[in-house]
Amino acid sequence: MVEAVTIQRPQRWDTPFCEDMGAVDVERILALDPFREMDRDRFPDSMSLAGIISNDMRVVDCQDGDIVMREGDYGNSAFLVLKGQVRVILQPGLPESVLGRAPSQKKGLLQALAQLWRNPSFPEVRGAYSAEANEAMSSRAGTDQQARVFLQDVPAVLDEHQTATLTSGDMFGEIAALGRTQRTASVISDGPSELLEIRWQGLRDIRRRVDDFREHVDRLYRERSLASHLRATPMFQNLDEAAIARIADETLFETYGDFDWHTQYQRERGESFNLRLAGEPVIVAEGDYPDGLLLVRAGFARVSQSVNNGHRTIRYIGRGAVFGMAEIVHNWSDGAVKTGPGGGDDNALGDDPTKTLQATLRALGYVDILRVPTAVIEELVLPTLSGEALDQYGQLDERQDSAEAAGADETGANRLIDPGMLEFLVEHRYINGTATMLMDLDRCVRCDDCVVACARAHDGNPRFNRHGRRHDHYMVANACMHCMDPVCMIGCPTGAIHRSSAGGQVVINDTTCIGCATCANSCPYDNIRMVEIRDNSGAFIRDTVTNAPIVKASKCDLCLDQPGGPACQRACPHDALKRVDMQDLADLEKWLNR
Amino acid sequence: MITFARRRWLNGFITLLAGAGLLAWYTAYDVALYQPAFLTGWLLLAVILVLTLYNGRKKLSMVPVGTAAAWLQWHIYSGFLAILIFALHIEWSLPNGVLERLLALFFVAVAGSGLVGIYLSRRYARMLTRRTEEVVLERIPQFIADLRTQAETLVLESAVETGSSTIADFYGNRLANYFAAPRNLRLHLQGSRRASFALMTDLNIMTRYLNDQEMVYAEKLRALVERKDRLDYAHALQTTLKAWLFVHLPATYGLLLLALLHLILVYSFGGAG
Repeated sequence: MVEAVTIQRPQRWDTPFCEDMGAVDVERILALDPFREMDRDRFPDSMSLAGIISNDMRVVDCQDGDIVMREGDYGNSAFLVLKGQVRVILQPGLPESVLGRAPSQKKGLLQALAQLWRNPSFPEVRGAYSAEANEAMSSRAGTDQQARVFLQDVPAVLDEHQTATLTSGDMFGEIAALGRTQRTASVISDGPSELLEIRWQGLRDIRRRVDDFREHVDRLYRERSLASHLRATPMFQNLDEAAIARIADETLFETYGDFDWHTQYQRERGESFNLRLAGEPVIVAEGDYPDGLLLVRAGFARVSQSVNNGHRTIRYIGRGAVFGMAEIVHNWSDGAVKTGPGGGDDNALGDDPTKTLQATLRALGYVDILRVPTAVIEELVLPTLSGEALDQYGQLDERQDSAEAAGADETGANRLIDPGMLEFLVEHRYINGTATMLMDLDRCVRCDDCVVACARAHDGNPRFNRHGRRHDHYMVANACMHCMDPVCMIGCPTGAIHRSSAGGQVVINDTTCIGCATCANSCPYDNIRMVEIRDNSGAFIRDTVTNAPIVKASKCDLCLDQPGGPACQRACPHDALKRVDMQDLADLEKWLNR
Repeated sequence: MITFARRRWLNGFITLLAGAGLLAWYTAYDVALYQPAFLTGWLLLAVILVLTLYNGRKKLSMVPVGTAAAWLQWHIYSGFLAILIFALHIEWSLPNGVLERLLALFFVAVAGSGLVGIYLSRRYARMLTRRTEEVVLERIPQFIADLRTQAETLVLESAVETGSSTIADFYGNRLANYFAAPRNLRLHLQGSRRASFALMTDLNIMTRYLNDQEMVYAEKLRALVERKDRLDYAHALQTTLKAWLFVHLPATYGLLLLALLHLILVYSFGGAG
């Protein structure tokens, strides 16, 4: 019988953002804007403002050319300029090579092969919990935090790229930190600068308690994300800066649903379909006049059409999608079409009567919408589009008769996703996944090769269950879907669960996970498990005070460190398993209709 | 993404083309009065070794050497080619030596079990999807034990609460053995529901002697029997889906050993080289 190892149960702030934040630093920051104006009484003793500054912030000294953050990275922190200035690189951003992106840390061939005999014989072994290993862990974290890439030739970069300057008191990076999204721009230090880096847990706690700060952050959030979002919208590609600015001025911001949508979803998932549908906020309804082009800035929305007394989902849309363009194009006057660059001669849409919206748009959880008024689209956007583009954007969601609505098109000529399957995916919010594990049970021989391969790639511990909800002969297995909107990250007190900078996968840093189970409870898909960990001898590692086993959150990491990618998918001999990006409907459709 | 039908046609066509080329080459070689048996023998051994690598690939899931699905396609269609090469090698007739016959028998066992495996993989996977809930094979005995406990508790309760032994007697005579372990494997594999139909018929007959209170227990018992039947079905099909490999793999290793022996004998005494 091996003796249990005991350690003190990890707590939030056990691993502060920076070990070097001393009382002097905290006092200095408290005396600066915007912290000076904050009412400290609004913070409880257990979560004081000084505590947040001490544990969730760190002072970063940058040299000239240091890359503070890189476009495309998944951000977990925001920055406040304390001294000096930084430059935001406007579009087009810096090339990948200049940003110093290193390849992700994947195992070599021999290291991968060694997993055959090196995997521990006990489940969930964390060999690192010896006294020596703990020391190594803290020092490793410290050194990682200071690693910084810098630009060799700053003047050349500044000459070649348009930049915006941020100086003392300016904040940046909050969009990605709060929205759990990729950084939209790279920022470099222009000369020596001193920055305050705030990890998103601290940002969230301050935002929750200080109204001015919340309004300030929200204003920045809206101002800065809008222009880049508009520029990234395909139909605005031909517009110049003046037109983009004009659209930005005219755009309305709308938010539907709850930011913490997963709690409501978990509460209501047992209710009937109609009840849940009624609970989804209607953004625009079928039959409404299309008074604006709707751009989805964040979240998901259901596009549905009424069928007798019910609603049939015809597709779902997510971040970056637009709604209502077809009707606007259709309703545009015939004469105006002919003034466009494409001539519009082949566009006969103008002869038809005015079209109202052909479908209803509902918020699935939380949705941020940008509404660009129709008049602005007609004046600034449509004239810049070619006839082909107008035809493409003018494809209406025509109503289908009930026979088509009841089942899939059997001709095979233009097969789509089976309506039942679509409802199933939307209903259970699987549309959130970028790597949803879809299994075709008609081909699955239940050999569990996928599970075995997963276990081999993760120290003998499978990171998913070959079990899950079914529709027809498809099953969505209980494996982390690496969601577009990873709500599991919302409550993590230490930031242990985060986006990988390599590919945006949602991964857990085992060393900083305190086993609070917030992520597991938040995950609407039950794809995170809490596991009791052991040392190398197989003994459970226990808390020194309570003697209870130490637990850690565990889930699929999409084989981030494996040379070949997801082992489960590669191991399936019968093509029964695929990790599907639910935003890539074309790929999903092809897989379903193989 | 290529559809399954297109992939089948493409792979089948390539295999047919390769087979036709092989036949032409064999005929030309034969006409030229060479001894094609030596070349077909070496070719067959090479193909069998390549086919055997598939099992190794399954073990090395962590190494990026192509997907298991792609390997399986190679495995299946190379297997078809191997059958043709084997037929050419034995010149479409039964070998005359004891070792050669044993070797041929092992080849037939490997190829036959492989073909059966393809059929089972395609058919049983669909059958499992249509009739059962998803359950891991290794857990089925535990689920059956749970059902047995529930059934026994129910029967005892019915006897105590109703003061009648009809259900308990029926359980003792007809169901105790049924709940003891997975049953009716052969019938489930045949797709027959005769056993469960007979059990349900007996249960219906028994209900003639029950009052309303006992009927409640009988209905609960019926639900347990139905769940057990589904578990038996899953157990039968999943066991078979794994069991064919217990023929295919050992026969493959036996075949390799015998082929090696055959090779040594041929080169020692058969005039080769």
